[in-house]
Amino acid sequence: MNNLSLSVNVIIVGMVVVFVSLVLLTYIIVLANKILNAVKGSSGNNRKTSGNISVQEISGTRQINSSDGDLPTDELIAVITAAIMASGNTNPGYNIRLKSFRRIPQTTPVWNIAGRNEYIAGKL
Amino acid sequence: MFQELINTIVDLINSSGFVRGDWKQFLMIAIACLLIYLAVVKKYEPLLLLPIAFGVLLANLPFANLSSYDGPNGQNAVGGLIYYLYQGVKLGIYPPLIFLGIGAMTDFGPLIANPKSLLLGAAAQLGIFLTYFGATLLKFTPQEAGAIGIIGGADGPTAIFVTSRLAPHLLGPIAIAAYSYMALVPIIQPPIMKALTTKKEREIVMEQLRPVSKLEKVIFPILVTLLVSLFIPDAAPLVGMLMLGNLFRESGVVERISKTAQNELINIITIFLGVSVGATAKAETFLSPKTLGIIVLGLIAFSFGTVGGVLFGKLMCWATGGKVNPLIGSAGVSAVPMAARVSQKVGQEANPGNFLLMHAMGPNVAGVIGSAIAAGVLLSILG
Repeated sequence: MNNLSLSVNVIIVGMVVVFVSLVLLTYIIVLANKILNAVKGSSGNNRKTSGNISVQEISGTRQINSSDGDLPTDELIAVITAAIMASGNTNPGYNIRLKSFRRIPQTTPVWNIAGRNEYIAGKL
Repeated sequence: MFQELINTIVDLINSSGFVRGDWKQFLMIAIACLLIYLAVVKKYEPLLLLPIAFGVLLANLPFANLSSYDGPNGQNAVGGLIYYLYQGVKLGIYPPLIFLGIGAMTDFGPLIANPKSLLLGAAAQLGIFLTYFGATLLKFTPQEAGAIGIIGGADGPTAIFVTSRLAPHLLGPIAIAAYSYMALVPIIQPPIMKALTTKKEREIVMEQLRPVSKLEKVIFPILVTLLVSLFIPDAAPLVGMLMLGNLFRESGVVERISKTAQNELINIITIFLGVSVGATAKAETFLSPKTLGIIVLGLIAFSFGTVGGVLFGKLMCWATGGKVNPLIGSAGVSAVPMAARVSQKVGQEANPGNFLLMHAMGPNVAGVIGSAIAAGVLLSILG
C-alpha cells in the first residue's frame, strides 16, 4: 500500500514537474524571441535611416538591368555566375558566356531534398 | 613419465573454463553472441550494442575475472581493467559526457522555431511514469521501478545514469533493453501511430518553420540550463552538459572543442561505457525472472511514451484547428533522430508530398530535455 501511494505520487509529481518546466521553457523561448525581435527592429530602423543612399543605388541598378520581372536579382545572377565559373575552373567570360537564367521544374527526388535540408540545417 | 604427461593434460583440462564453467555462463556467452549478431548483421544501434555485447561476453568468461564488479580483493590488490572503466558509470561520469557530445551534435533550431513542440516532448514521458507504476505492481522496489521506467525515455545515457544511481544491479538488462528498443523504434512505433490517428490527420501538411537567428541559438542553451537546473537540480548534470555541448556548437568560437566533443570524446566514452555496462551482466544477476520483467516493461514503457506523444499531438491538432500533424508527437520519445525519421516516413505514406522531418525534430530534441528532467525527478524522489 505504501509503495502504491508512492507510485501515484511519483506519477503525478513527475508528469506535473516535466510539463511545468517545459511549459515555462516554451514561454521563455517565445519571450526571448519577442525581445530579440524588438531589439532587432529598433536597431534596424536606425540602420535604415543611415543606409538610404546605398539601398536606392542598388534598386536603381536592378531596374536598369532587369528587363523581365521573373528574372532573379542581379546579385543572385552574379553569385550563380561566379559559382559556375569557380566550379568549372574557367576564366570569367572565356569559355562560358551566361546569357540567361531560367527556373526549371523540381526533378530531385524528395528524399534527397529532405536529406539535403537536414544536412544544411545541421551545418547552420 | 607418460602418466605424468597424462596427469598434466588432465589437470590442464580440468582447470580450463570448458570444464569449470557454469552452464549459466555459457548461456550468457550465447546471449552475447546473439547481441553481437544483432549489432553487426541487423545493425541494431551497433555503436553501443556491439561494445555492450562484448562486455557481456568478457564478464561471463569462466574465471577470467573481467566483470565490472571484479575489483581489488585484499590489501595492495589491484582490480581488473573493466572494474576501473566501470567507475565512470558508477560515479555518473560517462552519461553526462555522452550528453556533452550529443549537445554538440544537436541542432535545436526546429525546437526554437516551434517552442510548442516542447509540450510533445513532455507528453512522451508518460511511458516512464506509467511503467514505473506497472513495475511497482510487479513487486519491483521503487528504486528498481524508477530505473525500469526510464527505459520509456528512449535515451540510453539517461537510462544508464538513473540506473547507476537507483538500481546498479539492474544496469546490464536495462541498458540492453533500452538500446534494443531504441533500435526497434521503426518497428514498434508505426502500428501505434497508425492506430491512434486517422488518415486525414496523417495527411496534414504543416507550415514551414521560421528561420532561427544565431543569437537565439546561443541564448537557448544558457536559458535551458538555468531554468532546468534551478527547477530540478538533479537533472543538472545531464542537461548542463547537453547544453554546454550545444553552446560549443552554436557559439562558433570553439570549433575545435566542439568537433572533439562530437567525435573523439563521445567515441572514447562510448567504448568505455558500452564495455563496462555490458560487463555488469553477469550470469547470476542477468539470468533471473526480473530480466524478463524488465524486457516486457521496457516495451510497455516505450509504447506508452509513443501513445502519450501521439495523443498530445492530436490534442494540439484539435486546439490549432488542424495545423499540427499528430504524427510528430511520437518523436517526443528521444531516440534522436530515428523517431523523427519514423514520423516523416509514416506521414509520407499517407501524403507523399508531406515533409514532417524538420517539424518532428522539434519534439525529438525536446524529448531529450524532457527525459533528462524526468530522470531528475525520479532521482530526487527515489534517490
